[in-house]
Amino acid sequence: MMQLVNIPLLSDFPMILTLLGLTLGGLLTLLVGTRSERGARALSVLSLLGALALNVLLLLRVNVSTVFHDIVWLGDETHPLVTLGFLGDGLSAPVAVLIISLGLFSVVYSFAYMRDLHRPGVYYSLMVWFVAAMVGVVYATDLLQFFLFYEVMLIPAFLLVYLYGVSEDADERTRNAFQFWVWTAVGGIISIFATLMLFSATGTFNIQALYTAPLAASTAKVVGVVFLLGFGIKLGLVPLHVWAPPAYREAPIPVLVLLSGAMTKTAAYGVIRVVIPIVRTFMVDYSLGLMTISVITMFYGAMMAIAQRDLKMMLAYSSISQLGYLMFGYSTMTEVGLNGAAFQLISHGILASLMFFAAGAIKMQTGTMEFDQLGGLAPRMPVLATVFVLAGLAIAGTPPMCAFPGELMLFAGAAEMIGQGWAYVAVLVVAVVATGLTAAYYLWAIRRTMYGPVPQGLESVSDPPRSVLGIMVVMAFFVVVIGIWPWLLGQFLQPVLAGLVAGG
Amino acid sequence: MIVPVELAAWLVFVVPLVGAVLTPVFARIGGTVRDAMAVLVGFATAFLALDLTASMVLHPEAQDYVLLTWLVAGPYRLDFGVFVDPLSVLLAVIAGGIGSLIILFSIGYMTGRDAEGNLVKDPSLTRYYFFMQLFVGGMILLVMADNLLMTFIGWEVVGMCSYALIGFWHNVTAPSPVADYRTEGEYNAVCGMKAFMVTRVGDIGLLAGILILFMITGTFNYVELQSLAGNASWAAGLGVTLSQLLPVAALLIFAGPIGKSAQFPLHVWLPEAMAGPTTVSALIHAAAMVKAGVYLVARLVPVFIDMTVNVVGVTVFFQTVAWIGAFTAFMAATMALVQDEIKKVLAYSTISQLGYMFTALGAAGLVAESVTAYSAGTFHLLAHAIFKALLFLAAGSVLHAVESKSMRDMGGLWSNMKITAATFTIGALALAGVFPTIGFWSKEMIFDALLEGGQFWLFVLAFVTAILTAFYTFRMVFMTFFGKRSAHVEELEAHGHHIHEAPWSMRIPLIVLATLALGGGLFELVFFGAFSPIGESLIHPFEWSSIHLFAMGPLTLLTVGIWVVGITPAYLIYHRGKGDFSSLRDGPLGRFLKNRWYVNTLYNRVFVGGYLWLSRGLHRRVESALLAFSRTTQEGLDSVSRGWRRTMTGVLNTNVLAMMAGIALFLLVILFL
Repeated sequence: MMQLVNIPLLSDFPMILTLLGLTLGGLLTLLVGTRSERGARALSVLSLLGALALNVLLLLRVNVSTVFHDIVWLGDETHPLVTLGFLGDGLSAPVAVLIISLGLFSVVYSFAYMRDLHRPGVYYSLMVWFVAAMVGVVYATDLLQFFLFYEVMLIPAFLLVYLYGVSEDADERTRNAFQFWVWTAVGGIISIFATLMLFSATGTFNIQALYTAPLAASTAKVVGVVFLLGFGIKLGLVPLHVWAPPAYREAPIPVLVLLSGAMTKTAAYGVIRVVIPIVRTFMVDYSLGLMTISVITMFYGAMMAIAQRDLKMMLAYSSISQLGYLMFGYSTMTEVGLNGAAFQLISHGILASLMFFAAGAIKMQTGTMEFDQLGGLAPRMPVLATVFVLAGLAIAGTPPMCAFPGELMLFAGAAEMIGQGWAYVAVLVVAVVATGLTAAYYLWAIRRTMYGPVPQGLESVSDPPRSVLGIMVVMAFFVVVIGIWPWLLGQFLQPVLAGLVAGG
Repeated sequence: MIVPVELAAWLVFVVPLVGAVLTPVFARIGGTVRDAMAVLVGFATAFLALDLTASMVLHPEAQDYVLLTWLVAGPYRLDFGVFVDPLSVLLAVIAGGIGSLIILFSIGYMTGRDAEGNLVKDPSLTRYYFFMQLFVGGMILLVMADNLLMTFIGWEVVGMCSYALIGFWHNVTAPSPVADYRTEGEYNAVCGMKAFMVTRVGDIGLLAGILILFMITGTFNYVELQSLAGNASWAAGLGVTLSQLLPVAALLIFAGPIGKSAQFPLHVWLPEAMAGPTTVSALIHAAAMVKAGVYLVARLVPVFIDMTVNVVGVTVFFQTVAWIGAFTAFMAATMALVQDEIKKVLAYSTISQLGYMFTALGAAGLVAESVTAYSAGTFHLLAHAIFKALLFLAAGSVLHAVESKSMRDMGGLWSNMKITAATFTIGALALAGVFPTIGFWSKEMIFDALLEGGQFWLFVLAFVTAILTAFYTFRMVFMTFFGKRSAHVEELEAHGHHIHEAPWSMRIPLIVLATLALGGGLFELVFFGAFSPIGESLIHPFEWSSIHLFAMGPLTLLTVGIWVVGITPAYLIYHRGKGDFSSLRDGPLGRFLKNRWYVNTLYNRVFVGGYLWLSRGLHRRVESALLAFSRTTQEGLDSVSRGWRRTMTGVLNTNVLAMMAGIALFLLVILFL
């Protein structure tokens, strides 16, 4: 693809400018927010818009050449120990665009959703900083830098859940927020442990150098498993998902979108950027076991989702189940499977957020997300219903929407292994069956909220405000466009992943 | 011909898809514009499909046109292309041609009368025309695609449209026809969901099968598959596992058609699909959706026939297809005997007739004369598309007038709506296989292929089914149009609601389709006469010129026997009112048939009930324990950090043990699997 737009300076240093902009923007939001809520809103939107523009510029040039800068942070110039690096390529740029867009959408959504906001400056600045930390993870070229941002990210995330949680009871809110904190922090520490093991074996933190660094098979296997345990907690692989339901129950919708749509994706990104290229050749032996864990996650999440009485919690468990698909793609350790996982990363980021936004909109208009109290909304909220049904079918893997190409590639990755035995055939078939369960609970949810008779008190509800609808329509547009022609997205991911599989 | 083939092959599905997307835009301008554009798009599609047929007849060839790269990943390179050959063009003509007639019919059908008797349009027509056009477009995409994956995409688009259209009237507040739901709208939504879910079960197999087939052959493309299939050295290099997997892949792929074409054991969704508007039923049964399964099997039969030569065990695919088809044909025909709703009878007859097609296509791989069996199956596909569209639209016309679905509310309608009655009867004759309608020729070809090929038991099952078909078809004709008027009709007339013939927009499609159904003999000429030179240019050369046209022999006499044995009792019982069969109807056999062999109940208990039971059990026992554990870790840490307690004692022990066990399990699974 040709380089479409090139603006000097902005195109040259988009990532550094993004991080600086978001950090400063967050600070200004906080300061102005003490005086005026409108000022805080405007500043947070402006900083995120700027960041989005920079990253779109980055996306437009990464297929011509990757963008790379580094600043030595520790050590001397010739033997840097820790560097602050910024890598923009076909993998990091789309993920960054996804995260920043979700941040922007969540902030705009909050205008309508977060009524009577207590200390708006704090809320909006935390949102901006949360995005900044996640983007920092995505750009990182150095493992310590990666985990620095990875842990820093938890501070705004925890505060957002803790300060703005939906529980009336303060104790309950504290408990839920702390569970989230404890588990994800432990996950991060486990990953850092693996990082240190890698350092002691190779003497470097540089991710690029680690791809080619010689590594003993035994060390590599241990490092791989420990890494996956650490990332697995944040991804929410069953049975390590236990922090997710309380945190998701507690978080208000815009924060939840960032937690589920964006934050879990940083862990997924870590697996694909760090773990797979370094230890892939050694981990192939564990492929079947990892695939089994992924399939268990897919099924368990689906089982829990259908047992929920509340739309939000159903979506939360659906999200856990969907991350099982991602892990399934990694577990195949094949190029197709990785492509599928990367594709699913973006696609699920859009779709899960879209569904949460829709659930929030229903809550805004009807005051509830309980299935028992909903029904027959489709004629009253035509636009919302259209988006809701479309996104539901999309998550269930229906073409021509964006989850299908991703799932197809995941399963194709598993299919590539079938020559090795019937166990792989069984895992493949069982994994495809899980898409059927997904369809089942989404269709049931759609039926219970959108069709049939209207419960009393909801006869006069209408579509949510335009800002909310606008966000959802834009997201639905991308869901369909990427689904019809996945190469629009695949052209960025594929070359990078081919390189990662080939050993960096 | 008029439009270049390489362009028409794309436009034929792009036009309805774009038409669908533009429907909301036209709706902004005005309802009439939107309806007119839908009809226009329909006929443009039909024109393109017919034009493709003309080009095909004039310059017979099979050609693959590739447009764009859809996705690249690892060894996969998926190109998006269209494939023009007689089979794809035939299906495109069915979907486009009959689809356009159905859209025209909708103009009249989707207009009702309100309480004061004024004409009112259905308020959700934008949604209706959007999905109708998307349906046609998806179906044509499915048949024109040059590879399995694009076919699968079209396949799912069609499934999505069926979901939306079956549940189209999801907010009707009338009481539900089934006790389990509060309103009819809720029931309709459930029916749409059921259709989507049951076909999805088949799609799961299809997707897995396609991927496994790709791993074995390295391609999704039909042309490449065909050329590999006959390649002995490729087959020899497969290795044990892959060649054992080939029949598995074939059977998994067949799961898709079983679901989509409503064959046993996934036939349960089709009767419920009647909840949608009758035009939707017509589209599902005649032009799109259920024909997709037959198409896919017809597309792959030549591939697998060639593979049987080199790979052991592929024959199991053909045996499965033929026997599932024959069994389903029989089972659905018995269920149709006891239905009271006119649309339900038609629904079961569709399942049954699709069974015939599968029997013939499966037999193609079992008999020496595979050409006859293959072409009989595809010809019956065409025949069924015509007469079933006719029957559904005519039934829609009746429903529109009588405002009831049950045949017990009809009777004696002949004098009020002669055109509807006459065209319906022609359709019924074709369904029963009476000379000279198109159904006669196609059914006789199937019998001929089965008998000549030595598949005696398949033949017997098909033959018995044909007798049942003749019986229930004419039971339906006599109950609807002849005999005494029902109390419901008398009451309607008494309230000044005169039973009337349908408007012209509804009559034209009926007349066109009736003419086609009646001109059956001519069709056989077109199908095998004009197409025969191209028969050889199919991916798999079939020498259609060697088929005996208009074969008359002892078999013809047997076919005549079917009408006599089947139609006479229907006439005696339902027209003349002879005999009392209420004890048989209410007896064990009647109940067994009415309850659809209890298959539906069983599925509901085992799959829906089982799924919910398991998930609730897991939620109550496993998940709550896990969450309690997470809470305890937090509380434990909390108490430590606050210094409230120096040690963690008590309940925590078991939980820590559980955590250790969980992590150990995680490690064990990774390390040892």
